[in-house]
Amino acid sequence: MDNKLNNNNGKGNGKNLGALIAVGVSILFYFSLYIINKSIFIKSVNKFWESLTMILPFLFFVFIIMVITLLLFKPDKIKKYLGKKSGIKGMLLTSVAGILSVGPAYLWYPLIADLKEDGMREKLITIFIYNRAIKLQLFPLMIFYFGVKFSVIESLLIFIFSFIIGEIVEIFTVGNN
Amino acid sequence: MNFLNLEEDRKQIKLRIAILKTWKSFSMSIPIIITVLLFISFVQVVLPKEEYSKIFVGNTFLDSFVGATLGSVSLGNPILSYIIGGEMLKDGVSLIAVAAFIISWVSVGITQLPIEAHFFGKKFAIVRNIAAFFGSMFIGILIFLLMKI
Repeated sequence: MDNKLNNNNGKGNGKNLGALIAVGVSILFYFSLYIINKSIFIKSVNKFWESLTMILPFLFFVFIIMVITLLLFKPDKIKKYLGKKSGIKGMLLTSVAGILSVGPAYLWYPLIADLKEDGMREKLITIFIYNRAIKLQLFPLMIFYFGVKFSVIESLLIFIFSFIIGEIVEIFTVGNN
Repeated sequence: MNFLNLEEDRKQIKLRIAILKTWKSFSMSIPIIITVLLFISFVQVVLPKEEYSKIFVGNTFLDSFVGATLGSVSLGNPILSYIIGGEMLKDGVSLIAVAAFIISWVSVGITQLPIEAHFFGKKFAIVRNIAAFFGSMFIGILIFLLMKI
């Protein structure tokens, strides 16, 4: 088991190469900055360290919530509840699924495309994608940066607007077909 | 007793896999977060606040448009949009622009348009992205108004 887990981790590191190159280029950039202008270099490093230490506890918290979400909500389970109904219940379920879905959006596209073939409406796909802008697991970080009032208003408006945008998309796509 | 041990082992393996999976996606965003923080730190030192105000002119409509455009073409973990948005706010950029920026970061994906079109059709992808773009602008303006209450 340990070997398997280690192998998986190895693959992840391989995919991470592009991002690591980006860090490498940034460090090289900072190195040349040190040579060209030491004052700007020191100010930038201080600024960087200040920002990094501020977000670290929040990143740890986000990690814990991501693990819990992964344990509780499996993609196939969500598919089971969203495939059949498309009324208000379906809209609410789709929005909740959108809010709870973690990871990049394109990872969910094959699943949603499957649901579309099973009869999922364009409106529900839009609601799902739009509600992904509400990130429960990132809520503490959002409050940290923008405050409680902003975070609550923003999330509520996204939730409400997802239905309006869903209707618009359905009118323009299904209506014209 | 053996059965209980097996059940316990199964739960532990599930947890370990969940932690590893999370770490896999999380670890991929760490170098990007560091890169963005390094970039922002440098920009903040080099570009004075007045430079930001040149891009965001303080006009309600224009600010939300610029913010939504920046968010639409940006790619990456939403954590980055909060970090950048938070820094933008500190630097005096308007709330309308920042709100439009962080919403469009997730809901509009210009760079992901071909993938979306591939799965759901060209028309759907274009209409959805345009609607989401203007939606993020409108929400930005609404947040600004509601925050004043």
